[in-house]
Amino acid sequence: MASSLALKRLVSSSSWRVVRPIVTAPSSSRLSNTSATREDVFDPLSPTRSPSQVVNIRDRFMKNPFLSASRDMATLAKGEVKESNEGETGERKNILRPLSPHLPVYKPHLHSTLSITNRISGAFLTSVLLFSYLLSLKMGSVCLTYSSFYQFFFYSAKLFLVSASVSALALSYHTYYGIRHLLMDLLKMGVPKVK
Amino acid sequence: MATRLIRRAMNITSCVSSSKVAPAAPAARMVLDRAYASEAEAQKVEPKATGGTNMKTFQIYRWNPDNPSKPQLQDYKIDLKECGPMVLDALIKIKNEMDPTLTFRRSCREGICGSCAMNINGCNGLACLTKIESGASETTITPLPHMFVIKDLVVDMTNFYNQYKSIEPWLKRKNPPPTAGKEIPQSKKDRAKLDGMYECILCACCSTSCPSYWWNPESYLGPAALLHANRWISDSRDEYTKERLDAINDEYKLYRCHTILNCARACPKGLNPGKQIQHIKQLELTGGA
Repeated sequence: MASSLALKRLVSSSSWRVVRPIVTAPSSSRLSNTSATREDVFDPLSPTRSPSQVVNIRDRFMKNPFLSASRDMATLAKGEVKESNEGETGERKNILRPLSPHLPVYKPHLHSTLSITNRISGAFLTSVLLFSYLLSLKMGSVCLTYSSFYQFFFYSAKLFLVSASVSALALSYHTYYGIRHLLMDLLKMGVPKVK
Repeated sequence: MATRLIRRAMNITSCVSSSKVAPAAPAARMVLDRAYASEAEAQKVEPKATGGTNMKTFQIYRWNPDNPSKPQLQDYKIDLKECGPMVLDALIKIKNEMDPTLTFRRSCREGICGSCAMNINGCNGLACLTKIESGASETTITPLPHMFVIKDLVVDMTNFYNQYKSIEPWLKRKNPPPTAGKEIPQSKKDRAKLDGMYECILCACCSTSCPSYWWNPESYLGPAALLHANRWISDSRDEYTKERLDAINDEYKLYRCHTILNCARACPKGLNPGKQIQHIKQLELTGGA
């Protein structure tokens, strides 16, 4: 949405030039670029470039001669960068803005830990339920004739008791949290003050 | 100690006791005899620079749009003895003396404008109200979590402001005020219902601390906008309560809140957005009562 608005402004302001947005990839290996790629970048007449790209590169280099564009395609790292547009300044540079760190830096607190444990226990119980259902009801006795299958079940038999106790813990925690949530909602018990 | 320097002025008319130190006698006054200290006295004075500096390392998130590369954490060492107590003082000191390219928002330096909201040591807060932790551990300063970074510690707040606008944060009435031309009366009890909501400075500390808001920033309104929605819902002068409740009664706008309660922990003004969201949910249950 924002990029289309900026494009409209582009078209209206710069009349005859149709500029295709070129994004610079956030590459950490910029300093170690070999001379071969640098030649490719600075050579405006290489066959891989279209005329609009040439014009854009020339414009950007006229404004900022120290800018080095190593690649045309933007790397959309998962969750790392997202496209956004500079609309304020006169420079028509499309750069990718990074997303500020969230999960790696945020300190976990008591209530947030309780909440995520509730979610994890719920997911664990669902998977245990599904697994036990598949195991007990869907699996016929013929599966046990396969030796590797039988071997797997023989050796993992001890895990059943452990997973039963863990799932009992998860079930009790999930139930307590659910009851607390219900009480907060229905009885207007009030949300506890955390500070 | 300094008795040699001060002698008692003898009052001619009255006769006072011969104690060396100043008594509480009203007639006698102590007069400064010599205005300088002797050499022995001077040796006892402590030198100003005690030779101990209290260095603390600040790791600050840096990213420059003019030179885009991977964002980095840059180290700065500050002497805490020559710096104010708050994180904002340290940031301004770094900007003035060490690195003028460090970019951050700040304005009032007293916790009322909400510009300097950032993530300090893993918790969101205002830099002007967060004390620098004493001790040798490093302080990590990153921008507000899960927001697009414009430069260094400055983030793009457009989405946040648009969500605030979308709840229509103004008084809406269907009827004119009871006495025309005068203010709409409100009892003290009704005004007390707004306490804990009107103080919000829209610093975005709460919304950016909510993991639900991280995963759905465009559809979930966030604790700040919902706190303001509750502020207008609870206002007795506003007559569009039902419409306001219906507007946010949405799977995503309101019910992405799972009472994670990071918002109440993060609010630098001590507000509790989680409680206000709970209030809205209860009102929705009882049908807008």
